[in-house]
Amino acid sequence: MNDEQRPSRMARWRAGALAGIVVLGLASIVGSGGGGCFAPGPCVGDFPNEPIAPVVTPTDVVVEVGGTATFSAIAQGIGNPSYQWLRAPKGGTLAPISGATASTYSLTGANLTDDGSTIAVDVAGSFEGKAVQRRSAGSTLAVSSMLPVVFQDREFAPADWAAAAIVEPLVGGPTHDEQQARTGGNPDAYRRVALSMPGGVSTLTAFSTYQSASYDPASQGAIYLIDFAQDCIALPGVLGVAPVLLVEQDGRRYAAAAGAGACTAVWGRQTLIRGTFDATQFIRIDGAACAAGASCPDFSAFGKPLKFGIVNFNQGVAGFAGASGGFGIDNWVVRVWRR
Amino acid sequence: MPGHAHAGSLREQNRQAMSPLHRCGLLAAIAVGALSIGTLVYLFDRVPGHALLIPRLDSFAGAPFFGALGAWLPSFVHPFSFALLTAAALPAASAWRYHGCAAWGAVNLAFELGQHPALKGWWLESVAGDALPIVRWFARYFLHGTFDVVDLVVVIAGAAAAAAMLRWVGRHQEHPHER
Repeated sequence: MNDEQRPSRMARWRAGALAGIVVLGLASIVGSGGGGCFAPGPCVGDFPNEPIAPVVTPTDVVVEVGGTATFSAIAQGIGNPSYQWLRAPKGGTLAPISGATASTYSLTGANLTDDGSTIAVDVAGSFEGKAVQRRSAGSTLAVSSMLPVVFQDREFAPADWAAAAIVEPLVGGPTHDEQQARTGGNPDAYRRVALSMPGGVSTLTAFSTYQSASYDPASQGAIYLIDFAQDCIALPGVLGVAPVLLVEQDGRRYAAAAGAGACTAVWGRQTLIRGTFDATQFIRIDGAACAAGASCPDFSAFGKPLKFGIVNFNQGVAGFAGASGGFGIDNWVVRVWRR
Repeated sequence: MPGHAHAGSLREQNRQAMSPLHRCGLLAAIAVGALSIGTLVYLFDRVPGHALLIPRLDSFAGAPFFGALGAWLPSFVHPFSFALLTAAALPAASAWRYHGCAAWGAVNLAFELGQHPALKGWWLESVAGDALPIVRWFARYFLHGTFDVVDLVVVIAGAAAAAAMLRWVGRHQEHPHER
């Protein structure tokens, strides 16, 4: 390197270093506050004396071709609300839907061009005497070319379900007990899972798998989405429980990466857990690691047969005093959608 | 003889001089050390998850370490540290080193003034609606912040301390022709 090149290279280094310092400096200012919310949309607490954005339920919907998808808006404290529903085709931008100005919106006669659409709502009204308008986050609509394959249970006969668990430590560790409770469900029989955690460090992963049927992609078709719902109730006790969808395939178990949160002390609509998942939204929790590049779980037409169920995870940390509790599930339903 | 006295004085100065690399490293080390202390304030003394870019470590929270000092320490540390980092990246003889102190002081003053209650309404409108995510993040910073005149004073003190540090380091650096 000659003398002419050395200063030029040093100058470029300085310029790059200065640019990085400026970016880091600004980011560290903004990153030191913000209330801990990193969402691109409005967050609770953004404006304590203002309403937060309206909510559209459900957040994900799958229907068959020709079916009807219904969305509901929750105005979140906005007075005298008026609504304007919006729709964006897959990859497009939101545009108002003519005449869609009620608190609910139903898309009838869904077709494959509606697949991947985003549905949102603008809510205008008043809050503390001021006129406000807020937009909801988008809900996603998926359309399948055929009716789903449905797995459901409302009775939970012992022969229809298998229980298993991963327990640490094995000696003196957590315990679990699964059985059919004939009364006390929503409305009658339900599956009752009682759990107990000792004091100190321990983990309990409790599985319940529906045995009466399985889904075979090779013969029934590749899976597009899985639609899951159940009613849940927390049993007496202080142990927090939040059972999520379980998928078993080829000796491995996978848990849905998202659920609806913890069960509460009552049955009912507020404890209904619903989700719509594709293969990328599952986490392997038991079984051998998948081969590099393999799809796990495999929802393609080459995938092995799948069984479904529920899984709940509890963990005790150092200083934990121990607790018992559990949960019940009823009206369990899994819908397997194909393209 | 003046020539011999001059040469002896110069040799003495060279023994005490700091090389450019040492100057750069010293400034960066002081800056990183100060930033680390500032980060500890958020880990120990602030509400977990309050800051966007500082992880929520509940095991650290609830054990205030810095006390009242923790309320203002970040406002001092930020202009101080980034002014030193900027100076470390600049040539030793550049006047922009001191301009950097003023610039970081001004940036921090602006972010503090942005939290003034008179501007809350403007930030609220930015957070609602269809503002770009980066606008929301800045607006959210101002909405969740609390304006404090003391912070303005502390920011100025931080920038001034950085300038004083640069002056001290500058007395020990080599004179020749580093550019």
